[in-house]
Amino acid sequence: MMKNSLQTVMVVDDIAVNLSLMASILSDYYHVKVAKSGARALSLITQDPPDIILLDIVMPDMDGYELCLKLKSQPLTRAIPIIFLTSKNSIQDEEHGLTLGAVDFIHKPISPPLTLARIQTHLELKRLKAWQQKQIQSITN
Amino acid sequence: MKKPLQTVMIVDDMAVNLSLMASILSDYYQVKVAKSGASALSLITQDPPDIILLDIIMPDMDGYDVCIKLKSQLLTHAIPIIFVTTLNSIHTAEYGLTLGAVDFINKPINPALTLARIQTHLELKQLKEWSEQNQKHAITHDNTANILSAEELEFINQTFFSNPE
Repeated sequence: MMKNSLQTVMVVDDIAVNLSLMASILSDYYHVKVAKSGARALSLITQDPPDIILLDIVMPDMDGYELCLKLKSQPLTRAIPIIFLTSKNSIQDEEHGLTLGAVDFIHKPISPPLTLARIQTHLELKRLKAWQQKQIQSITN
Repeated sequence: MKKPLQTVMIVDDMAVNLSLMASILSDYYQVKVAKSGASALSLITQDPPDIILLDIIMPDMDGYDVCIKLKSQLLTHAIPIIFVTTLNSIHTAEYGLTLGAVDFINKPINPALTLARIQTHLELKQLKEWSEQNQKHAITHDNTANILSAEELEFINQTFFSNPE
């Protein structure tokens, strides 16, 4: 399969080693983009929206929650699935993330197969929802 | 008419866990419970649920065994299975995925995340079924278009296959 035909995963994390680890896990299956800050991610995502976003919560300046809120408030980026990456295991944090519009959580240290499974689930769901929308439009038009 | 609720089967040998999960899910889904792997297999085969939440550590038949059996039967192999486990280890999750589970939920469970994961996999299952039905319909339609009428068949036979006298 040609690399440019792969779906794009944007990984946002302020720790370079985490970005490298995630990129090494994902790059066999997806086109991977990385951003080291919320502001940089927002700029890259708005310029060229990825298919899914893996978003660290604790980052300086703009944290993952704030970035999620911004992305969910823009029509261009609203439908991109966001999975939070977190080292915390707190029910309150997870509930807060879901109310902001995230679709799931992945806890660090990550399991590569579980991470790949969750990404695949949400990419497939997104693709089938888009297909369903087209079917509905073609019937109603 | 109210849309019929989708069915979630919860399998756990601890009654208190079944009660907790049922209380979380019963506002949104029709909930069925089983206290052992054998009972779960019997109930699931009789009337397949839409999704299964499956405890791993159970006496006699553990969650892995139940998963293997369900994935080997045509009637039940497409039902999404989410393992519910206190074994918070990467190895556990990875092994479960190789058996065909779609995801994991760790105990103590987070109700919001549990509901989100169930909803994700139910929605995905439903959309996959619609998409497959649509493809089957498209194939049937194309085949129909390729079926020749009796007149067309006679014309082809006479033109290409009749022996010149």
